[in-house]
Amino acid sequence: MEITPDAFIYWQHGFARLNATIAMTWLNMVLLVGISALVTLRLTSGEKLGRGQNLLEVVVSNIRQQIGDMGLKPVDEFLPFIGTLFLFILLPNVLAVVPGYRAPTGSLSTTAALSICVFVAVPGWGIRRRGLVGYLKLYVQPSPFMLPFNLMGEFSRTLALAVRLFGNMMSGAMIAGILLSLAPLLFPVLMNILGLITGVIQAYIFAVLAAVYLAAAARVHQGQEEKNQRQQQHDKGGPTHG
Amino acid sequence: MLIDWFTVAAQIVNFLILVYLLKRFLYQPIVRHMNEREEKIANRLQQAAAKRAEAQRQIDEFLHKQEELEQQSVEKLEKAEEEAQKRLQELLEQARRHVENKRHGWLQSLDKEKDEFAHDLKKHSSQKILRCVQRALQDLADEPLNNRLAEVLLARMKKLDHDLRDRLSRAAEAGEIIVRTTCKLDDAMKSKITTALHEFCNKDAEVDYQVDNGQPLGVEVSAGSVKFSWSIAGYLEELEEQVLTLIEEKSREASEPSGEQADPDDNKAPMRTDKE
Repeated sequence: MEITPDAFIYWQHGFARLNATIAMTWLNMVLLVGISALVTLRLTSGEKLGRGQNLLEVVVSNIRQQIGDMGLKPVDEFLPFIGTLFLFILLPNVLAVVPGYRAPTGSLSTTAALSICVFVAVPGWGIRRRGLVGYLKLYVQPSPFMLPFNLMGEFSRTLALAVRLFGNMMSGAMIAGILLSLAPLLFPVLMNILGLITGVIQAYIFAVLAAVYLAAAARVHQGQEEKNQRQQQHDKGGPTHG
Repeated sequence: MLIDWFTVAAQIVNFLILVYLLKRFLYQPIVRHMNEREEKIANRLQQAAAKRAEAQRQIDEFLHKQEELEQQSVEKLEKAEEEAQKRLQELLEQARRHVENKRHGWLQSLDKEKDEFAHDLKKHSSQKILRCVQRALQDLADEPLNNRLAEVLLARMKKLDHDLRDRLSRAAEAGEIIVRTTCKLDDAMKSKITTALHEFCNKDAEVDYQVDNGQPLGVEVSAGSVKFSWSIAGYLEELEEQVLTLIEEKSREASEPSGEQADPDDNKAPMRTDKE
């Protein structure tokens, strides 16, 4: 029994190969971009909204709300990355109930790819926000003795991200497959429903954790900015109060 | 090996492409339109606030105008009431004058009618009294009185002028002589009269005695178209004429002073007192 869609290879030429993971990802991308483009072609800022626009606005505004709650400002700077993470995982998790569909998130390669993206994005935003030195200083806080633990934490959380999502999705497919052989009538349906819930939750968890990691890198910087701003205001207002 | 590094690389590329495409086709348009809508809503709220302020201002203005109008209407109403009261007083005054004039005219006509009635009453009562006197005399007329009257007639016949005597004689020749009395005469008196008539006419004409209760107290002698008589009717007629003359004079004297009062507009004209 194959537990990963990477094993289904449709085409191979040397190192390069087209497996089910990549093919289904392309399908997901076509669906996401196609639906988005179709809806956004007829966007309106009036009072009457179409159903598609209403749905997309609900999704986007909720993602922005979550990002804002994490303390990431400005929201629209982080929206494409975190929002795409969420949708990239949500759509295959939901489509997993469709017979014959192989969710790319059930592949450790996909989850590893997404984790690597987060692993790169966190220091990327951290360095962009507070510079290379400023970001690197985070690893020696609260004391230089914590450097190995911080580095270990950085890698382990990336690994955890990848394995958590893969494990959940793979286990869902596995359990469905096993139950199908034991009690083929009713249990697989229930497990599929449970899998839907698990898939949506996992998409949410992955996106939120990514946001949290980004926030951890950026929030320090924001806190310092706020401190600097307060200091500046105090310096300006000081003589007048004094 | 669960991880296929080519697939990992491909998925990273796929993910980055998707980030770009969704940013281009999903996030940017949706966020832009949401912001536009929020801006519109904010503008509308602002406009609504401005309109509400304007509406409040107009309401205040309207209330102020309404108060002014109410004030004006109250003033106009008071003025109209005042004018109506004034007009009412004028009309009442006119009506009072009119009624006074009418009353004055009515009193005058009443006085006039009263005077006329009094005049007529006096006249008729005088006439009635005289009729009563006449009737009383007729009722009292008995044979002795008639005889007495006949004697008076005989005495007067002797004093008649010749012209009348001739005319009576000629008339007696043509027919009988009729003697009318109020009541019946006794035979002696009848023969006396017959003798006297025969002497008077120098002929033996036939004398017919008739009783007429309707004629005034007295005696009448007629022959054909010639007639002479004596009765108290002449006295009574003369008396009536004198009484009526006296009443007329009295009435004229009474009406002369009333002509001097004629001033119809004088509301304070005193009531005419009964002249009687």
